[in-house]
Amino acid sequence: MPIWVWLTGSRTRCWRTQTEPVPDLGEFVGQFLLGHTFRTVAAGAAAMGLISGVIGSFAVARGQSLMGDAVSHATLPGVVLAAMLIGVREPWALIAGASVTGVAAAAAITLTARSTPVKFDSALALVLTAAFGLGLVLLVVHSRGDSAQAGLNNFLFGQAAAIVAADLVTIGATAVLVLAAVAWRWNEFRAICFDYEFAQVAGVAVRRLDLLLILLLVVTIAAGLKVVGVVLMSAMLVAPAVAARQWSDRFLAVTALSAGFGVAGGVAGAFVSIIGPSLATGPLVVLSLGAIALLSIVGAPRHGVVAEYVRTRRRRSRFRLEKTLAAMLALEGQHQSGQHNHSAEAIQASIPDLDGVEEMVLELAAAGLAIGSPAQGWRLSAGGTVRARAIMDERNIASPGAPG
Amino acid sequence: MNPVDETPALRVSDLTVAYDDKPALWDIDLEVPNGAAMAIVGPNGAGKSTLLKAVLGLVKPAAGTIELFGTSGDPDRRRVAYVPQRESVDWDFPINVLDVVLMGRFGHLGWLRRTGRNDNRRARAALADVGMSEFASRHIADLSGGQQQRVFLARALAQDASLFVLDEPFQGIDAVSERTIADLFASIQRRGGTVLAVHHDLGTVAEYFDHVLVLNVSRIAAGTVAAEFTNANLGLAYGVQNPLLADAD
Repeated sequence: MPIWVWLTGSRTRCWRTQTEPVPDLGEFVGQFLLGHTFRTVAAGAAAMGLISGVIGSFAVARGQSLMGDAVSHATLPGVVLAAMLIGVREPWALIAGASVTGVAAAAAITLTARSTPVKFDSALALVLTAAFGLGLVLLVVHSRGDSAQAGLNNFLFGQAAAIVAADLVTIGATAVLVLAAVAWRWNEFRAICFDYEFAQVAGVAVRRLDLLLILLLVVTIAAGLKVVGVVLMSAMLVAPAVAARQWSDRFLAVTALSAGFGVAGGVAGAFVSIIGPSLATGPLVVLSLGAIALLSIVGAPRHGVVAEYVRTRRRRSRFRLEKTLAAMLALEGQHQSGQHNHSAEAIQASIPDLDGVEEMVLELAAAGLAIGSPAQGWRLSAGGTVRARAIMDERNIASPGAPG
Repeated sequence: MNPVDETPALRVSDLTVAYDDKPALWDIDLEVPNGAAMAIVGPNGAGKSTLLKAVLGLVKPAAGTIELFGTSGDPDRRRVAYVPQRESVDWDFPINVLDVVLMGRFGHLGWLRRTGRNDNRRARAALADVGMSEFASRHIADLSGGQQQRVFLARALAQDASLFVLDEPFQGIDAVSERTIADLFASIQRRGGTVLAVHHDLGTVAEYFDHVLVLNVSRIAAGTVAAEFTNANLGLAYGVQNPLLADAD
């Protein structure tokens, strides 16, 4: 089967036929937003965004972003097997199947990394690809005998439009379960993510909680497969958490924001996917979450790239001004009789490693720290002298003319 | 004399730990008396951190027993507080100073798993003990190395433990933090607590500790600093004539 058929969901909804009347878009969207289908899909995508944002913030804080990727790929064979054995229309069976192979993959990765010379990232890549390959083989085998296999393709890249009431019940129940577990063991989950060994010594049941956290990750992924699909699921865990981390240094705020971003990305992706030319939901969700992450990394107030750039610039210009002040103080200290003007060139000559001193003298004059003119030369004002001495003291340099 | 006081805080018997074909620790016998401050010294690869991890139950020994406060088998580890090496955690983790210190209370949480007023009081008192009260709501990445070490110490203090196990607490910190931590050792000892720390700077062993274990896979010597912290013992451990002088430069 060609990849674009997976990407666009199914053959039949791929292209509009010529005879179909073109609907008035405004009217269409208006009716659509009030419609039952949209509310079902939006609720499903929102619930998924919420819990993947929450669980993702733990995975990211722990440096285990890729574990989610491996687990989600490894759910594919479980989903297909469940569909073969029980039926594609049983959401519980699909989630159970996905969870079984997801947990098996997590265990395989952890055990391989712990008890063989294979490193964690290699073990992860190995298990991820092997499990996904098995899933694809099973999918092909399964689709030969069953014409209803189109439903399974949705699990690869997600198809929010395919969410029905039964899915909503399973997603909702999973969300309640995950949120309740996180709320209950919040403190200890955070503790094992921050410092596993200390938590263990302090009496936290680290092994059980570690297992519980993995199980929550797996059921979150399993429940969300229909929305975003196995291939791109990990973005729903990682992107909201990475975006949220840029805005806060507190774990509670990071997790809450991550959940919010997850909801926004999930709903936006689902919305475009069902009003658009039946694009798969997964890529759209990932694109919206990617945009949120990018904006956060660039524009967040404290950790953002722009803020950091501005801070560096300010710091640089402050130190340049301080160095000019210090140089002027040093020049004036060479004269016994106090006030004496120096030309910008003379000041520049005393600090040859700093360029653009003339500009900085003008800036100091504008700030009232220097007095004079380009023609008469410059000296420090009373305020400028105080500032210059303070700078020298702060840097532990004996200032000229100061007592002691 | 009170017989309870004579039970050592820690008794290690015949302890052997092996990660691969060569043992990391061989047949260690050790007693740390209640109220002592013991430094573990020895060259790289001597098994100093491994000994700490065995005491903490973080590594499984190949042989031997570890007895804490007179009980072996599965002793109550909450009476032991761990101060790991600073590098062992990610200091960019989104958490503030007070919340890190509160983690010392997590062995004591009720079934709702929430920290209460008493936990908060203990955590704030511990922060005050290490002189870090005004940093309570700071992000941990904003601290200097010495301040981070003091936060780890406060977290251990908040646990209300009797034995404090520290992995190189003085490594790479400023003079103020070094002084604070040394003073804390003294105050822990005054309250009847016991300190067991891996220590690198041979020049300050006598200043900060009253007991010493000289270790190089097997036990070279253990006892009071006055009796066992000798050039002869250090020479056996480090394999050089005068490590004390070599280290002091």
